[in-house]
Amino acid sequence: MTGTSLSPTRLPKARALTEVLVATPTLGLDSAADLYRHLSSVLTAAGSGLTPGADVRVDGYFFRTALTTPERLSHPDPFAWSPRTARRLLGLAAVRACVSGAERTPADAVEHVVAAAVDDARRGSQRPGSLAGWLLDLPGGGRAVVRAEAVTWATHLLASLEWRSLGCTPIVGSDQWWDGPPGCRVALRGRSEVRVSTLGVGPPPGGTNPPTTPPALFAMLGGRPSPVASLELGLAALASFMARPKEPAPARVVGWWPQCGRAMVLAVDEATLRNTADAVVGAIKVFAAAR
Amino acid sequence: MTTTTPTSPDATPSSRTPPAGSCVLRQLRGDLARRPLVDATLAGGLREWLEDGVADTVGPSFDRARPLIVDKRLLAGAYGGPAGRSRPSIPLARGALIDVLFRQLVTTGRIEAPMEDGVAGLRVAGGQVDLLAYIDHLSDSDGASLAEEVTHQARVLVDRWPTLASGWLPRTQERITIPLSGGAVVLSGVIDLVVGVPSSGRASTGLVEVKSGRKVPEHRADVHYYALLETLRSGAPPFRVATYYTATGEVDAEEVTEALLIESVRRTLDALARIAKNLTPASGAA
Repeated sequence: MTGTSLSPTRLPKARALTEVLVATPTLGLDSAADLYRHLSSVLTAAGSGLTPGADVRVDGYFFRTALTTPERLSHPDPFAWSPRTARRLLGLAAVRACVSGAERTPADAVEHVVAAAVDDARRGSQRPGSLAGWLLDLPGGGRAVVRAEAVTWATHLLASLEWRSLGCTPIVGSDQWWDGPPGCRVALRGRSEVRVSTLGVGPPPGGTNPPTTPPALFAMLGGRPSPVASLELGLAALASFMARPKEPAPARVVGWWPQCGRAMVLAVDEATLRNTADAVVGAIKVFAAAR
Repeated sequence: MTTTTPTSPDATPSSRTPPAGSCVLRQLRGDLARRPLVDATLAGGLREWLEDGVADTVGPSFDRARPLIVDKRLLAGAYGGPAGRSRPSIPLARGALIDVLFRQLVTTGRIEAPMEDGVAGLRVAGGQVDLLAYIDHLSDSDGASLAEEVTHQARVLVDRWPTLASGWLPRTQERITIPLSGGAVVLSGVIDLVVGVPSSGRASTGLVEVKSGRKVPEHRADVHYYALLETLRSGAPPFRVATYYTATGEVDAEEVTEALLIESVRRTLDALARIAKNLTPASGAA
């Protein structure tokens, strides 16, 4: 399974990324219901071999680690808030505010998002260990670094697309979870920053309403594409397909690595979803062996 | 749907900008009429040149799983400067604290307690355990000396650094990584400040590097390297690069030209050739 790279020299990049994101789909799924049942069964079966209490949530980090550095699965880093772990949550809220017109720039938006979170924490309306509580406890210099990191992240996302060309309102922050049927010990989490509608092909002959067009996902990632980047993008598509089985599957996932200016387009069809599910099963086996 | 309409760095700065800040702004902005159209083939040409040079030097000694990270320190080291991370020292602590305070000033517009803010910023940012331990264990006189210097430079920053309009899209600690030779070699840099919207055909971004030490000619090579990285990443050169000296408030700014970028490629490849000469065939290490 391979993605297609975009030309690194085409300017403006936001236009190129937007055009490829919303382009009319050329692939599709013939029997989505059958495919959903098959994949659900495969993923559920993969979890049945896990030791008791070892349920697994397959997210991008787990997936990449299992596929590239499986030895790290046996001693994962515990989660802790930091400027790096907080920037996406704060940045998404800021971009949402900018796209809706509530804020003009990422810096203004992040300032208000952080202030609102700190106010929430002061009122005691946040659970222990929350981002808001962590922000409240930080001294001024520490909170400034968190804001700075979020501004940089939000600016990258805001500058990566031509928002006015995305048609109806895009969903900013479009992660998808699939928990499986009762008893399933595998959960999927697909990460994407933006979910948009693709361009339609026009109304069918004799019809008055255009058909529902499949969505497309936009994922902004850190660093540079890993050797398994196309599988990482595939996970976003798989989680979305499994989480919304009655809706059209994503037509594509566009991955964007602003640190290196690279983009990758993964067209989604039955083979993409099957291959990604196979890789997830492989990752779960690696996880089971590491425990 | 409304979207952000960022202004470019030719917009009017904040009215709170002090006179010294106006001077800095003029230097960062440069001559608007001279901002060049982007040559769409330039970035690709520079990249091909680098790819060829890397393939002839360090490329074969490294691979994607164990890449050679080429940053400004490695390049300086190839010319006899200090390579790699230095041991904690007063100048290193001062530089790290000023970097954090500069970031704070650009983001929040204020610095109230320089040492406290700086240490808190370093602590939350992570990756500075040794330096923080060094600062914590300084003698009273060394600690006072460091605090005095940081406080002085923070005051210079507050007095002389302009308030940037948020429409300039100022973003701090911008990390760039350019993989070459299939990821075996990675050109890398962290730019203290980037301003301006992404290019739509004309050079539109400016890069600023902050230095807390004295001015030396080698600093220009650092910002030229950053201009090269930005060109490779975005496909468009920045219009201007600048080094801001926090001890004095001085700005050393220059336009980015094709010649400047070509010279930076030459220097990078020359440094990699020097590094390659010291590699052992088996290990890829010096």
